Amino acid sequence: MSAVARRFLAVLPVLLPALALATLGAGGAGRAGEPAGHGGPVRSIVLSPDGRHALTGSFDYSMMYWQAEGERLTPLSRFSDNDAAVSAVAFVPGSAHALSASDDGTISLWDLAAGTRIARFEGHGHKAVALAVSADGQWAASASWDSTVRLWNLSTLKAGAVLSGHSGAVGSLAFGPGGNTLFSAGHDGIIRQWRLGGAGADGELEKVVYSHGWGVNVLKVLGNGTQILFGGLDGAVVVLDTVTGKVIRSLAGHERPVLSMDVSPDGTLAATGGADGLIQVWDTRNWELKFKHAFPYGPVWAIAIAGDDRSMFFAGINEKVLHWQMVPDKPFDVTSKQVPERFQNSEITDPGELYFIRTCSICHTLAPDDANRAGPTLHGIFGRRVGSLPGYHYSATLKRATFIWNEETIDRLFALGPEKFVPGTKMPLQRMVDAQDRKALIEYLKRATAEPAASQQKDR
Amino acid sequence: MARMKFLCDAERCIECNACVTACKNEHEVPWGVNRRRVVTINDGKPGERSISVACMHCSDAPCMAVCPVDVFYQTDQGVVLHNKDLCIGCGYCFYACPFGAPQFPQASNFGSRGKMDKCTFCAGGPEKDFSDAEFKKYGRNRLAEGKLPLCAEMCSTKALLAGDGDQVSNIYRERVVARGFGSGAWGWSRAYPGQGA
Repeated sequence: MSAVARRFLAVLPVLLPALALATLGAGGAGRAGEPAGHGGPVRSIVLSPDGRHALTGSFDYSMMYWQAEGERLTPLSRFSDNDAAVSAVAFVPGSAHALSASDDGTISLWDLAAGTRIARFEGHGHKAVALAVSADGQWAASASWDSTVRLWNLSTLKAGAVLSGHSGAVGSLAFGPGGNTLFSAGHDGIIRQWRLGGAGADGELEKVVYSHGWGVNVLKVLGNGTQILFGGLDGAVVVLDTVTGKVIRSLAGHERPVLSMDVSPDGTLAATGGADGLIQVWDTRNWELKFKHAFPYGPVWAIAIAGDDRSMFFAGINEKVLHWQMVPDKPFDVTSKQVPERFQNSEITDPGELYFIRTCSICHTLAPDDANRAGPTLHGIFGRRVGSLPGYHYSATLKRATFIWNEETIDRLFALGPEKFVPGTKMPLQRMVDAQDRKALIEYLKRATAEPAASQQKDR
Repeated sequence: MARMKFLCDAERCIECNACVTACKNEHEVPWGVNRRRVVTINDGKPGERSISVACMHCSDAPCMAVCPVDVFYQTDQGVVLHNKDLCIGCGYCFYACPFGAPQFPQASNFGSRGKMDKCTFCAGGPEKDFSDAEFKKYGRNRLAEGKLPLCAEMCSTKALLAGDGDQVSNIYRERVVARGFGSGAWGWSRAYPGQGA
């Protein structure tokens, strides 16, 4: 039995009967026709304040902008000109702008109507993984694995304060009401409150609100800023008093780390998603558990409660955005929902094909349709000039390069590693030190990327 | 078959960092990556305690559940290992590990997607035992040599114990009988639920 099958069976017994899911954006049409859907795992979902639009961020190096209507998300535009995975997205209140945070540490400000980038903020030294925007839309804050929080002025497009103090990756952020207070939390397990002066140009630690011991993955500020809800690596879900730093309520948390959290627009519902696949929804007025469901296919990475408090969008371990109708519940038929993961195929005997499926296929297809994955399709790769596929946002270094992809160049790519073969490429570290392994992959690619074979590789 | 486990006795750790140094040296872990670290709480204050933290090789490891490309596997001795050739550097395991074990070296290219590195319980990886590839990617395979992790072997106060879970918990129980429970075996119940130390 495969590991993934074991994983599913392990959670099936706790599956509650009432889970209505609709699958959205399951890959599909590739870049030429952009939007369609994501081509890699979805890491972030947010709904606009009016609930009519959504943003999603994905491992496929893109942010997507959607129209939200009932249980439907209709893709409007795709912002794929990024150099790394998009871990966080946010609407900018009072404008038609949005922000995305990338694994290359950059923050991008986008014009949603024009589909263009307004600014790219640089400064973080590691993955940028969380975003918060002040209620007046003037300031954005970003959190990074480099242990810092950085502020960005969205009017002047200039960098603001750099908040240092966390001793590990910072993973979650939230502005307090009024915009002159910021809360941050991270793997050091400490929730910090920062005082922002000079309209965000300066910032200093106001106080340590709480020390949880275990790392804190997610936090939200509730009501008028007097409470914080946070979720920990130990699965804890805790309500804090921000003034006294005391625990108001320890909720029945998750068996595994809490990965996602959202508060409904009217503040009456709060939801958490865990690595245990559990989604829990509380009434924030009395902290009673209102809904609890087990998603049978593993971790819940992103949650966004719809404005009517009757449903939510969420993302699991793959490229799909799912819809769960909480009120009224709809039954969820587990047996009819196959979640094939191409990476987890252990029945392939050809070593080249197995390597492609397990490693390359998360970013590349073999068919003409690139399925919006992070990298360009490998269809017809042999004989193609590097960086020449129309519609794909290549790095500057690949655009400048002139060599042709063939057996020799592909062999050198994996023998040296992309970062040495073409420094500046978006392709991540990937080396195959064994010449026989490289040969097997190249032989497979020669067969699979040729015209007749590639047409049969729809799933790859 | 023995089930390998770590136990850190917070009553005994003196924050000497020998475990950290031993690990770095034994596996030639590159700059910027620490497979093991010592965390001190209430530093300089009454109740100060230190604990040595790394991958605990959890019985039901959460990292395995969240990896989108299934790089993790558990050996028949209970050691959680991963295949670096398959790792895509997404960082999802980082959010799932209560112990902060997954380490991501800053990649030189601007995609920042270095391969994940973590404690192997000195058990190497999927490459052939004692091969150059195994050492370069995962470090030394002491378990295959019949030895236990060097961090615990080097621990001068025997705060850090590593080995067969039954034996490790028996040693700890004897200490508790002699001295009282104290600050406990930090992380044990989270890593190995239902297996009291």
